Order: sequence, then structure tokens, then C-alpha cells
Amino acid sequence: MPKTYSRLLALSLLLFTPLLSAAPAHTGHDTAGIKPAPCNDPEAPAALECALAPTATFDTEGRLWVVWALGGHVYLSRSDDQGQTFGTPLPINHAPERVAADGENRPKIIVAPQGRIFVSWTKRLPKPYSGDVRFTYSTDAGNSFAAPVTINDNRDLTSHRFESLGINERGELFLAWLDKRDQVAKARAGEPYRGAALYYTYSTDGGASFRPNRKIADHTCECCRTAMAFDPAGNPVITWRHVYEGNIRDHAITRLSGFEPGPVQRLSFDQWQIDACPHHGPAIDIAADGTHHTVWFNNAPERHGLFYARSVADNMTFSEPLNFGRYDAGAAHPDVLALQEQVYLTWKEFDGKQTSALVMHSLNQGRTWSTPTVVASTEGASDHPFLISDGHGVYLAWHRRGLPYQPFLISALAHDAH
Amino acid sequence: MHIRRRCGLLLLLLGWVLPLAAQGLQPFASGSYQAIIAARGDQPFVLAFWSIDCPPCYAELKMFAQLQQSRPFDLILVATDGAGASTEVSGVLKRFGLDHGSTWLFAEPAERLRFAIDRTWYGELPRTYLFGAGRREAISGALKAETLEAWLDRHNL
Repeated sequence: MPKTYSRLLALSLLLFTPLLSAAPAHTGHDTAGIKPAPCNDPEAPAALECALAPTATFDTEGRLWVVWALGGHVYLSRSDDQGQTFGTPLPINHAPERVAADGENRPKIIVAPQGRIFVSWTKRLPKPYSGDVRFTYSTDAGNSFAAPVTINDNRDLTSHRFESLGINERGELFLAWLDKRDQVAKARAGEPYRGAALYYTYSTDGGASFRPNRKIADHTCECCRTAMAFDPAGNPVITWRHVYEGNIRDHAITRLSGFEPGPVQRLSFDQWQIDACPHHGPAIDIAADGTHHTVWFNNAPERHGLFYARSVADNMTFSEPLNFGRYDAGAAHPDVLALQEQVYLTWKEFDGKQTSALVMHSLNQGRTWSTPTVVASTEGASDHPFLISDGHGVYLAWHRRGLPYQPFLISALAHDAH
Repeated sequence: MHIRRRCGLLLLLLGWVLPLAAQGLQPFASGSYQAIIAARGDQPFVLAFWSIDCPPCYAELKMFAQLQQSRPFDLILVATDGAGASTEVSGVLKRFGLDHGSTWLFAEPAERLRFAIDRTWYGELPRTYLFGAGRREAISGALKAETLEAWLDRHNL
């Protein structure tokens, strides 16, 4: 997730006091009296409130940027007041194409300093569950974008999807995604292949060109999002749902060594043995001190629900996972954000009537946690919840379809940077 | 053997009658699950949830299609894709020859619909429920033909 720049900004701030409250700092959460938009007006294709899967990030000046897909276009819009009002949506791709826009597979955005914006998405191809990873960038603060390019250098009509997009402090840009080219090659030879593979590429010229695709791991799960964060040295750390021997769908994690693939190791040991698509991927964030914070979902008979684990020692050894959220309330789709010692978790629950986004936080690197707080609810359809930061506060970015899109402030810094 | 053949004939007949009542892809909403169960009384049936974005689901659809040829059984197929995917869902069902039966498409938030069906089901697909003899058996992951055939045997189908 594009948290890196927000986090970097936050590192310059010395003292924070989270003010997590049951009542968010604005009234957008209270849907009483707000009638959801019907979202069926073909004349209003760019309406953010009708987007299926918007993705938001803050730039270093605290402005909020959102990308979403509708009607064959990826749209970009900016808010200078934390989402109270938005500018006119700008279509990023001129030629329409089928853009994946669901909880697990959505357009991604990074807003870097000097008006550089990077956007990726999955273009859906005619065959079910096939797609190409697409990318474009702007060097003029989103006024114009380069023609989108396809990132996967294999063009089989198969799945190249569920990309993660990330950038480090050196401006090195990475994309990693799930790729079924090896499955296709094996199928041609009449051989079976378990799942998909994790591939990546990178750019050292601000997205103008990318290196040949390289494989990190065989046998990933096929339909869960991947997640990427950067360690303090700027190495990408990627986590995803893997298919281990015996159809066990646990999570794996790897750290690239500069631009080179690193060893792949197992992150979760829940032993979910299943020949199915969970559509439920992990998340990761890395604090400035290098502590890795990870969250995932599994549904094994013995070990199920949401889990959080933090790295200890060498940052590739993880704590005993903490099981959080209410399993009988459908606790799902977790995200994690770390700001120095503070760590925030969010996820969704459904109580039989309403879907809610909950948050809990830790002030000591994930060692102990607050009780969960409901930040917002809806009786309608909703997206996965995400956590973003502008360096001054932590926000829950959760889209409830048909309602105005506005992140919920869930913490605030007691001392301003100035 | 004779009994089975006779039941098979009966189901063949049912398979001919039921599609007349079916109206293509129906919206699966709050109450649909209960309505499907109520309509079948004590008759054994298979309720299968799938999605166009789920590779193992296609293996299961193929298996259903093949088995329906030799041993027709009451199959209800529910796609968990949103209403926007109706064309694609219909296309896939047609390709497998499964578009004449009882077919549905999620028409409300998935968590709401799942909650009413099974709180331990987190949306992993395919998810299949075998109803028979007052029992509901839940299977996550592509159902194997032999598992389904053993179930059909047990219920004299």
C-alpha cells in the first residue's frame, strides 16, 4: 500500500499522542439522514461515491489523492481538505479498458515529492480471471499522464494480476504481482502447476522504463491481494498467500536484497488446507525502526480469523500471532499501519444488520493493544478498509458505496511538526 | 438399481419441469436462502456458491455439468459476483450447459447474505452445501466427483 511517503513524513515528527475516540473528528461517519446515491446513473461515470474500490493516499503536503475505476477509466481526484471536497475527477487512461475494481484488486496510487504520481491497475482480459498489470505516471502533479504500459512481459491470455506498487526513499519503483505464465507453460506440456507465481520488476528512472520481469516464487494462491512495504534500507518486503504442499494456503514473505530476489519464508502456520479461492489477502507495514507488522486471514478448523504478527530480532522472525476481531461476526479484510511506536489495525465486521469498520491501536510496537472501536458503519455495500496517514494523523479510508468518500480521522498528533 | 433408475427418471422429469419455473439468473437477496430450502422440503439438493473470478470453481462447474448428464440431481448455483457481473455469469453458466437450472446472483452485500447462510463461511469459493436427510454438509473448495457421487448414493439419487 502507498503508505511510504506519509510515513516518511511522519518520521520527522517527534512526539505523538493518539486520540482514538469513538466519535471520529468529522461527521461523515454518521449516515443518518444521508440517502445513499443509487449509483446507476450512466451519465455520471466518474462519481467517487459510486466507485467500487477507491484507493487513497496523502502526499507530503497533506493533500488527499484518490484513484478509482468506473466505465473503463481510472480516475484521479484530489482533496485539499481531507476529503470534505474533491476536485474534478481526471481520467488517467484515455482509451477505455476493463479495469479491475474490487476489494482484492483495485487501482493503486503513489504520490511522491515533486509532483510525481504513479498509478497501477489490472486490465481485465476477455477470459475469466485473466488480466494484465498496467502502469502509468505523471511528472506534473497529475495534470497529464504517460500512455499506460503493460508491466508483465508475458502476454499469454492468463492471469497477471493482484499487483502491489511501492517506492522507496531513493525513488526506486517496484511492482510485484501474481502471474500464471508458468501454469500456462506447464499446461501446454500437459503438466500440472499448483497456483500462480510471484513476479516483480522495478524502475530506476521514475517509471519511464522497467527491467525484465523476474520470478520470486512458484505456487502462490491465485486470487488474493499481495502486499508490499519497505524496510529502513529501502528493500521491498512482499507478503502473499501461498499454496504449500498439500494445498495448504498459508502466507509467505520475502525481502528483496536491493534489486535481487531474496529467500522466501513462511509467515503463517495456520494450516488452512483448501482447494479454493479465499479472496482474502494479507497486509504489511514496516516501522521506521524496521519492525515488520503483518496481518492476515485464515479459516482453518483449528486456527481461524484475523491474525497479527510483528517481527522480532532479524525482522524475518515473527512473533506468535495475535488472533483479533470477532470470528462469529465475520471479522475480515485487515489492514495495518505503523507510525514509529504506534501501530493501527483495521478490519470489517458484520453484526447481522450493519457492516462496521473497526480500529485498534498499540502504543508499543504491537506488544499490547487497545480494545477495538467501531469507527463507521453501513447497512449497504462497502469496500475493504484501509489505513492511511498524512503525517499528522492516521485515517481510516473506508468506502461505503453510495455515500460520500471521506477518510475518518482516528488519531491526531498532540504536537505539530512546526 | 431399479429404484435408483426410477428416481433418476423422476429427477429427469423434474429437470424438465423446474427450468420452466426458473427465470434465468435470479437475484439472491435476504430470504432467498430460506426460500430455496423451504421450496424443497425434505428433498436432497446441492447448493453451490461460485464466482467468475475463482479458478477452482470452474473445475467444480465442469464436474457438476458432467455428473448432471449421468445422474441428474437438484442443483442450485449461486454466483457471489455482484449484479454488474450478470452477463459474464450467464455466459459461463451457458458455456457449461448449466444455465437451465436454478441459477442466482448475489444482489446484496456479500457479508449480509453469508451471515444468513453460515457464519463460518468467509467467502472462500467454491463453497458447497449438501442438503439431505435433515442435514447440511458444508464443503469449501472444489468438490470431488466421488464425494458427490457417494452423497448421491447415500440419498438413493
